[in-house]
Amino acid sequence: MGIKFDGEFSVAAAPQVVYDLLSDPQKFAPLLPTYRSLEAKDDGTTDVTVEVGVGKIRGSAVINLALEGEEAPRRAAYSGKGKVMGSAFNMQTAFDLEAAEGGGTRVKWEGDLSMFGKLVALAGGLIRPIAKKDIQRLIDAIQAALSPGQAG
Amino acid sequence: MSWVGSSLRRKEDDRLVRGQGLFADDELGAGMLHLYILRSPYAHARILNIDTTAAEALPGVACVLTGKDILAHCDPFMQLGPSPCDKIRDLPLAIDKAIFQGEPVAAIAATSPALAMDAGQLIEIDYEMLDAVVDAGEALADKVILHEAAGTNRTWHGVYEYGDVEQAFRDAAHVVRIPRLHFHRYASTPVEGNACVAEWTRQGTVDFLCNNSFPGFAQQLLAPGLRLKVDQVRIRTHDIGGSFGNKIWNYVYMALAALASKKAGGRRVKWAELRTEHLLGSGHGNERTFLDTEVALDSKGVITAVRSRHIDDCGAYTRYEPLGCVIWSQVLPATYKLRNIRIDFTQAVTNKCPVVPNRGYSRMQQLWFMERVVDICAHELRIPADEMRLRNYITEFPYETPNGCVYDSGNYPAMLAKAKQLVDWDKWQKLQAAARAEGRLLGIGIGTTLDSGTNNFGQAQIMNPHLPFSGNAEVCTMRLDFDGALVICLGTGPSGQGHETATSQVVADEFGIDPSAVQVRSGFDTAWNTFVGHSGTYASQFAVTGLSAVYGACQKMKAEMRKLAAFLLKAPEDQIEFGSGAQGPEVRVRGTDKAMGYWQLSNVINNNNAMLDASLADVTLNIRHVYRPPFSVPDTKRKFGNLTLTYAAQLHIAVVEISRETSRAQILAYAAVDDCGTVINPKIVAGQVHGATSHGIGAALMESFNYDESGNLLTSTFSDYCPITSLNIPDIAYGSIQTPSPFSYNGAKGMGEGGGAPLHAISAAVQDALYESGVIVTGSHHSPPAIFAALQEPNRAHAVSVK
Amino acid sequence: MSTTEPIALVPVEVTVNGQWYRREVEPRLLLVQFLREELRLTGTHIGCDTTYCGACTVLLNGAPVKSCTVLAVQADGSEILTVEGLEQDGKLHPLQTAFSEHHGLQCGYCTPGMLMSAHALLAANPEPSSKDIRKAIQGNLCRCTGYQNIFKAIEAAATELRGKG
Repeated sequence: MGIKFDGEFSVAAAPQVVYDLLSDPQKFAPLLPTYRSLEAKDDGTTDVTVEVGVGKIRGSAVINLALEGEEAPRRAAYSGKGKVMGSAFNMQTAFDLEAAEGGGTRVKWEGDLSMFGKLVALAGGLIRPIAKKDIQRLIDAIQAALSPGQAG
Repeated sequence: MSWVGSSLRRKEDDRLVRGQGLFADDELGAGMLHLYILRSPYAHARILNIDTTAAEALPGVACVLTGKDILAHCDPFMQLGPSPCDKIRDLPLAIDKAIFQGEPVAAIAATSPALAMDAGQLIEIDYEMLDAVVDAGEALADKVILHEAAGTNRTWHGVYEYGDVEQAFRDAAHVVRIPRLHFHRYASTPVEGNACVAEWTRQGTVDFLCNNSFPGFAQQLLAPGLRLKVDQVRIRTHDIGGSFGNKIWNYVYMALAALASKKAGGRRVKWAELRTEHLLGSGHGNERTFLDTEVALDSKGVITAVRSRHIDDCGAYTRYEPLGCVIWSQVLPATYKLRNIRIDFTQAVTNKCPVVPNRGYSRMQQLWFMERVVDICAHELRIPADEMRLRNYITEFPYETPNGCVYDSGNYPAMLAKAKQLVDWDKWQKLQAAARAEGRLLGIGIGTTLDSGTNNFGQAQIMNPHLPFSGNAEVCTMRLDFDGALVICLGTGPSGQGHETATSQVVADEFGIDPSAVQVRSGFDTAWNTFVGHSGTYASQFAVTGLSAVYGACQKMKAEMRKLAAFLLKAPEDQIEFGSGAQGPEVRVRGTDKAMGYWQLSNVINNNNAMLDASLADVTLNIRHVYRPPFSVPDTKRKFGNLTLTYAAQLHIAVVEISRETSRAQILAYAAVDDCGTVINPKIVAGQVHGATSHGIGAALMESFNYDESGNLLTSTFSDYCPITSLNIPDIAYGSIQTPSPFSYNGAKGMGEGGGAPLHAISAAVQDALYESGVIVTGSHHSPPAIFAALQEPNRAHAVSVK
Repeated sequence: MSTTEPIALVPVEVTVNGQWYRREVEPRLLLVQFLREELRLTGTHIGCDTTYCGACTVLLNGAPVKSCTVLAVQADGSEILTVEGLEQDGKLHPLQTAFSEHHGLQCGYCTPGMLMSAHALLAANPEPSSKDIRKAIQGNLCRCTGYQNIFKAIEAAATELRGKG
């Protein structure tokens, strides 16, 4: 099962500041809506633990995030893979940054989530709205972090 | 009186209604380990690394198995197909890549099922995802290849051509073209999942208690797979909680449990499959696509020729396949008299669960295809559905089909008349007209089908000329016990079909005794039962092969008893008669009061033999009889020969109404008429018809294995798969006719599979309901989403054409 | 998320088919596993993992429950009736007899759960309509019989029991 998302939003901070946040898993990962913990790996990737669940089926998932194809200060892209409850998922996400009027930044983003296994069968129809909601919460968190005083 | 033909209460029931059956998962024991299987979440992925360190360190874990262990202790299972099937490496665990979602990748044996599952979560597997192919037609393009050594996804191809097809099309008054029909993927999925207890014994042999439904076949595959002699593999079954063919290839899992026992130092290992595992990885029915079908008809609507291209989807491994590429040709023309047929048949592997023989195996798909062809032609040519059948039915028997199969007996018009009467055809015709006038979608559909029983295994040579299989056989052993009971062992290993009861009825009649004096052993044991490679319960063969073996054993036993009694009672053999006296079963001298009880005869042979002379040296009261039906090897080049001994038939009529609001097809009336020749036990026969009908209705309206484009199974729990329940089954008006088979000693025909009649009847009824809305029914699954989609985009303009 | 530490056991006391038992179990142990593995009452079967099939149906304080969806610890202190408890003094329960007489079973795997659901139905409703019967066993899956003869068997047992009452 594959889900593609995209969108764009603006923040008050300058592209370099946005890039610094988005390209650093240590800063970026804690903005994930159900973030729990983070561990830097020797190979330069990061294991991020988040809480996941659909209805009463709940658990934690470890996502191994690799920053790839970054291009300061214009692009930050991640690939991630993880597993949860006998299921697996892969994701690709990229943020393209453009300077906007007034010193802010316009962020175009896209994401591609593929899911495999039991969870798809159990909760296939529910994953899309949940993922959509969580992504919106992530965007809101990024905006809040980069546009102090303008959150919401 | 005759016991055969009576609805004797089943012997099996005494233990089963008390909860005292012994199913494989009921085997308990101190120190037993439990196996948990870790399965691939991906439909197609390379396995880069497996880290089992943490799992192995978990207290209570006895051992963890991965592909490495398998390669060290196991050889790939034999494949039946010709090249390239021989290059398919089929093992209990995926080695370097997984090719369907749910394929086993690692296994853990631990002291409790929960601990084994815990350990499973500690195993780290690195996968590299690969593109999956889930459509057999696309798989044939070989862009994504499952078995790299085979080099192609195509597992079999052959052309079945009979008569003069070209001429028939030149002479045709009408030609109907149907570009695509599709038979969906489902399984009869028994309530008891697969299970086994395996023990790698100190003698280096393996002992299984399991629910495999074809142990004679499993043993021949397991022994070389486990690097053992055949006799070193002992397979026992006891009660089996339904199989419907689905438990034929659980030997793959049995091997895994055996290897876990070996690695755990010979401790007993139990594997009891979870339902989700069953739906993901224990065998689905064959999915089939019918392309470019052309039908030639004369001016009266009689079909003279069919040509078509069929693609069978066998899932990720061949296993019992590509036998299905031939099995369907047992019913090549279905119940119709056309003589000119050309079918180009191909099978491909896809990244989905492997298929397994499922009730109605491979023939049902062909029968559904022919029923759709007849039904669509009837609608397009405006011929009433019943009239169309009558114009096309085979009416003379025995009938040799274009490919040399011999339909033994039947009377399809009589079945149609009976079914119409049962369903109240005339009433529904009127109600349908009234409903249509109100804009309601009401349809009436006829499904005629065949249940071919007692295979000639020689047809396997059409699939692979090098296979050393042909004919068929079944075994019965019979002993006159110390207490005078007739003790019988069968080779069949039933799973709910009442063999203990039906056998008792036959034996009781042959000896003139009460069925209670007959003891049929339940369960099967390769170490104690005698059997042949064909032994088992599958393909509707018990009533002929099983009971013929029983009948033959009775004759041999009677001959010995007669000889012994004549000697002891000092009378000529032809004066000895069999029956029941005051003391129970006895032999007596006709017209006298000289008689002996069975126990006395047994006692002479077994305990008290000093008075016997040399003329009785061959009397042992220990009989073995093997029944072999009369078959010859088919002509493999022409694909011609008699592939099955008997042809039971069923005719169903369904009346459905489709709601415009919910797109749900609801059955308003349902009739099922069966003809399985002479009936041994009417209650058991009716029960088989009910069961097969329920599977077909479930499949037609509810049950489907739906995969998404990445190979995720979206219906992997019962809650998603929705097996038919008491609320969804209609009342079934049941009737029967009997056209005794001239080819079986008792006139019976095997009938357990049912031939998928409800799928044919319901597809036809849905067609009838939706035809005026411009819908041609091209699939076999009629769930509300499927009907909704059909009504949204009426397809008649491109789903059919008539010239 | 996995448990790697040994789990503390919890005592459970139940009366099953009139017999009192006490066992110490893991809190996560399901009632069906408790009955089958701890008490060795294997007449109660397991057929699925989503509370759909009902093969594991037992009566918990008189009410039918799917014992795969009850924890053993939740059953602490309760009275349980399983298929093994239906036969009294060597005499089959009328439901057991009727299932056999009317061929309401083939492989027999779903039968114990069916019998228990039917038992609960007839206790609450001695004169069920055919619709009541269908509803009472809607959570009990049978793959062999197509349900037709199960309906007949339950009806026959109801008649038999009413005659006795």
